[in-house]
Amino acid sequence: MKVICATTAWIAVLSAGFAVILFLHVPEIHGSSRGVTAWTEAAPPPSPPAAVGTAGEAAAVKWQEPAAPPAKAITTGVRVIVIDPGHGGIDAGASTTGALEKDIALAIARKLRTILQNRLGATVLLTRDSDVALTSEARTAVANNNRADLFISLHVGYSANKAELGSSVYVIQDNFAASILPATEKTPRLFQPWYLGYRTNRESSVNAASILSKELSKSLPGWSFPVRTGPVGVLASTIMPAVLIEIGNLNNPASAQALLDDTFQSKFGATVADAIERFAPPRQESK
Amino acid sequence: MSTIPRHLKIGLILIVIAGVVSFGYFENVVGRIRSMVREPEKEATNPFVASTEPLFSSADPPLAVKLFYPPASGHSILSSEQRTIFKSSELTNRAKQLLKLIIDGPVSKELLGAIPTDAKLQEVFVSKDGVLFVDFSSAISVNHPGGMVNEQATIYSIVDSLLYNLPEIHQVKILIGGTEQETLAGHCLLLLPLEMDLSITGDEEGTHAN
Repeated sequence: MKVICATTAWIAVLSAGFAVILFLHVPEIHGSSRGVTAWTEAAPPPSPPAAVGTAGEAAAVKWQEPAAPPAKAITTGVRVIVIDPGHGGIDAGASTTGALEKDIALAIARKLRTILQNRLGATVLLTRDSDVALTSEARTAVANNNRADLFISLHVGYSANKAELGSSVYVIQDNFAASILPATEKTPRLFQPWYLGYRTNRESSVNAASILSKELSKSLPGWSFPVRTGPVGVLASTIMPAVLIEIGNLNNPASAQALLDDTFQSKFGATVADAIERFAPPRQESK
Repeated sequence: MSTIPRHLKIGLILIVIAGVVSFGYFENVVGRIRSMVREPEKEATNPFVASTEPLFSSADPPLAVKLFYPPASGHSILSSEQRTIFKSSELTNRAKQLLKLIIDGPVSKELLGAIPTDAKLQEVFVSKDGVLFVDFSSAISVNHPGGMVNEQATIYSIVDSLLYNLPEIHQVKILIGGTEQETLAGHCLLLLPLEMDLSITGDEEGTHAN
């Protein structure tokens, strides 16, 4: 009887220990935020802004405290860069066997962030750093609210033409939303449509796109990056130079392979860094 | 009952507590796994019933039109081909004839279809100020393969084909499933009416066909 009692007591002590460990390490049991990172989708922030609909959007729209000041001296006039990995969450974007646009865009964006931070010493923010869905306006708000000097939206292409390797650098159409407020209209208006935010820097956007197009076409043999225009939702309300880069064609096996390749992604990132240095040379610091 | 030793009672209490906490944890884990393994979303049953009224009469004369489709090769986003519709008196009927040809796809082997399979035209409306509202079933978005260039080709195949051939209208607004959508495949903003853009066709010689 004594042996049974002792064994039961030990089992009880071990079970209690297990329960305590569970209690301390599983945040959902006791409400703590510790260890939530692996489950960000399951843990919505407490108070999403009224302008957006989902927890993921709320997380992204929030003004982000810039990371610790870069150790490296800033080598470009662009101090804050916002990179927008396209799609996310239930919106996978284009896809091919074993690869989704949202995942490739995020992988390239993370690589680009590291390269730009190390090479340019700039503060680089991502509109999303996990698999969440965002509206175009929520993405734009990250750039506007953080006073970004440059906004780059990253996407992966898909063409029904399998042979096509083409990529593109997009800027918004010069007459986008002109029916709301013609560019020639001189009469001041009390309220300006927010979709016209792009007008403040469209010329610089075209310049940035042109430099990116030349640098990427030169650096990646066989790939072309023509500058195109379109009613790009994520660029409409940006108040800084803003471009969308669409890379490759997921319907082309060679292109899809390259997009998943670490070396290709690094080369792409290094080329974008070169282009940004050409686009915005170092500022002359005032004394 | 009083014969049960004290340490055994404590042990039993602790086992019960541990059991309850562990059960809660595993319920949580099972719930998450269930939420991750979602059933594929089914498209809601659309009560829309297509009109069976003819889009033209036998007395209507033929009308040559230029339609825009993505090319099978080359770098331009759209290329054109000549087709024929009937010049019905109703603007919306002419628009529906044009859209049927866009949905059915090109005749030329050098061009590709612009609209995803299974996408259907639900209805066409026109406003007094010349904006044509074109309502597609949600398959145009759900079945779209994606890509900015590809999405632009789909949208402007519709917009350019309508605005080039229907001089009475000057803007096209695309609806999906009867409602406004932010984008069709995550890139091009559909919240505002769109104007003709022939710069993407390599075919900029005119504004309207007639």
